Amino acid sequence: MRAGVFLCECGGNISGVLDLTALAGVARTYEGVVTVAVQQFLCGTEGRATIAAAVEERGLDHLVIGACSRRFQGPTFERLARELHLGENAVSFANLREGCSFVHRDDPEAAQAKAEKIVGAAVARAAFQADLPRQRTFLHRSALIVGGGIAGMSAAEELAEAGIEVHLVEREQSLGGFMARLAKTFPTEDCAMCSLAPRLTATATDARIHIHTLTEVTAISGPPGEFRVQLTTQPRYVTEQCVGCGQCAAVCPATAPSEFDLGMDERRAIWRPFTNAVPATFAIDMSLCRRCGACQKVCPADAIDFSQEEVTQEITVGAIIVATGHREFNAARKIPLGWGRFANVLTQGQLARLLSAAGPTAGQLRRPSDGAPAKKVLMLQCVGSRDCSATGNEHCSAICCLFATLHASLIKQGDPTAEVTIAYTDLRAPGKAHEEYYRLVQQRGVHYLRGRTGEVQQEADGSLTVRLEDSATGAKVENTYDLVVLSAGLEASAGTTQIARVASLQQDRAGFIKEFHPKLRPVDTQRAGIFVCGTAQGPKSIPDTIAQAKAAAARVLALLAAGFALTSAQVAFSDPAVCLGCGVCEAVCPQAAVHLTSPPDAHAVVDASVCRGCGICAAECPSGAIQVGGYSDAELLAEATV
Amino acid sequence: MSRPARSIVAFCCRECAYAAADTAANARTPLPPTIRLVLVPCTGRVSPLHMLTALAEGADGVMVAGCLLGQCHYREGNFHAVDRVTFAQRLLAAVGVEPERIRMFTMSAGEPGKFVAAAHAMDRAIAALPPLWPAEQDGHVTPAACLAAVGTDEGSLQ
Repeated sequence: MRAGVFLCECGGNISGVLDLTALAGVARTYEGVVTVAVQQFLCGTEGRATIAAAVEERGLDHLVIGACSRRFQGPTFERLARELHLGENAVSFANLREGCSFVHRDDPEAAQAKAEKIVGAAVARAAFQADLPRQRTFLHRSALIVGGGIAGMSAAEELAEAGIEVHLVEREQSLGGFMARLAKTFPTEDCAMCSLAPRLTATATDARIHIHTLTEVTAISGPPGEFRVQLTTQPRYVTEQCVGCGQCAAVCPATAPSEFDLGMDERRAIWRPFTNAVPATFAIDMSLCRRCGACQKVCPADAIDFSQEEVTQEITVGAIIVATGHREFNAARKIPLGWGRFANVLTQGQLARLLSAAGPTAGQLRRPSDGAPAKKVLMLQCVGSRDCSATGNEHCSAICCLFATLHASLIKQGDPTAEVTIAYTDLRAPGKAHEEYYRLVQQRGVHYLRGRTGEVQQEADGSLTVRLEDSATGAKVENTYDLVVLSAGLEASAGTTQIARVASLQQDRAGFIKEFHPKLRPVDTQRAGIFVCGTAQGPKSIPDTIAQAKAAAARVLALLAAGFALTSAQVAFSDPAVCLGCGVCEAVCPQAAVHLTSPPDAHAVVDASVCRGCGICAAECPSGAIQVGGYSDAELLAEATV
Repeated sequence: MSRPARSIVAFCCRECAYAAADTAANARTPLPPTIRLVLVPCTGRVSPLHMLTALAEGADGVMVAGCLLGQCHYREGNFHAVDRVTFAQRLLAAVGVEPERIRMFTMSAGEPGKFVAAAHAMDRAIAALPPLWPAEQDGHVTPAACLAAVGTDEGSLQ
């Protein structure tokens, strides 16, 4: 081996704790090391030039990178090694930043000793890193988009325009997502449906976009470029002959609170969430249906079909975008705030339905308890957000300050005599034109008060009494309101959690999908070929969601434009000369990627396009015949025993 | 402060534990310098061979850190790891070595605090034990010799 050790100062992040000159001196003594260099930023142009020159001049065959965690800049150096014709497994990583300098700032001496070990281990493992083969796989010019909200539709539109076949999967019966529920959007106060409806229509009519509603992704296998995806579709019990006239719903006797209206209205067992729904077809909720047949009798199109069953199909796509959105924080977890107990305590989502011209009250704001006009409204911010207690979430939900400001403004414009107070923790209005909008709404007479409350109490007439301390003045304020609106934060949706499981994606503490790198690869996930956008990735506004959706679409195009894909180098492979043919590997493989050939010469064969490189087979193999690229026994033992 | 006398090898899966460790580190959370991370794709990749060889070659403890049980990104790799850790612990007990020198921990990628707690727990547990190779003086007793003394060698562990 002729290895070069390259140590990164990381602009002081590493060199501020470790003495890299001394470390370089020690590294020079390690067997197989022919050159050592220290750079301020190894990932930058100069760092690359230093590495390239060293490879050229010293004839290096392995690079040992002493820098940040491999999870951050690993791909950068692996790509550089490929460009320098060093092959697929020529880089060994010494995690000097996350693995050392960041966590031992209080003990530089111990950190230095540990850094020597870390670099020693990386050099030791490099000696066993042999080049690995990669195979070309077929690249399907198609994409799966999971989630039919504004994020999913925006990405679909972009991809379809570029000529990519798109499968748009939505677990609910209509596309539209959370945005379809909104009355208007900040900071422009244009109606949500005005910008959503054209997209719904475009999506529904684009021949390249295949819409799968009432559908979930139940399995994903295969490599990027050739993902095999299992879709499970629940029966709608209404065929495509449905003309959307609604006569069936008018006669249906079974009712339930409407999920679309967030419980602010009722729906029937046969229903359609909103007028512009895509597809326009009604659907029957079988958990509610009494099978009375009334709908069947009145349907002019003969579209009711009780014989429909769940359908499972497999499709193959080149890339996947996760756009599964968010859900409102369950405000019932904040028991003292009364949501779910007091009729006049709502969430901002529910208020959006009441303020929507297409909503249950046609935009008239009335108290749910008695239908009286709501003249005095209090909004409580940060419900379940910026809250480190067991019942809340630590993160800021990013949109609630403006969401409340929008609704307060709409209430004031509907009834200038209405009194609206927003009780906030900190008023946060970053984002284009947001601060200006906040000031405008203040001028419209909305009262902002800095304070949080612990309890909402209900009076005999349904009014609500709240005690607040104005932390700006110290004054204690006790008032009675017609409505209390909770700005319930954003949480990862059930669909986000479900796809994270199926696609093996990482989630952060709040359950949002983790991006590969927050700045360098913000819409990539840890799994190659799968991208994320919108509120599935974290709380954000509609403009940010759409921008991110288009970024995800661009990443898909970059992948598909290559013309072909390669299997990962970090997959299992079996040596037929060593294999005993016992078949343990075949039994334990979670991907069914290993198969035993027929006797008498039975041995294991790994399908590199299916294997994901977990290594369960390699750890189980009694003969050591199966190894994993980059994680062979020799490499791991060399690293672990320094 | 002095150079840490103990050393603990932490096999961390790339899906959860290593990601949690990175997150903790980016918040500059102090960790015991005894712990050194080894990246593995899944804890299901770690075999008793790796755990025992690490101990035989000078580590005082081995931690295997992976995803929450039931949340393995490769279905059941961490269940395999639990089995193998248990197996390795039994082997240790059989040759008179404290089984708690090898331990399994689970966490999600979003739980950096759990990784930090695991690292400290492991460090404290190993600090409470006597050195693994007390007789190692003047080069007379080597780990390989110890293993040979109890009727095994590295080769047969495979």
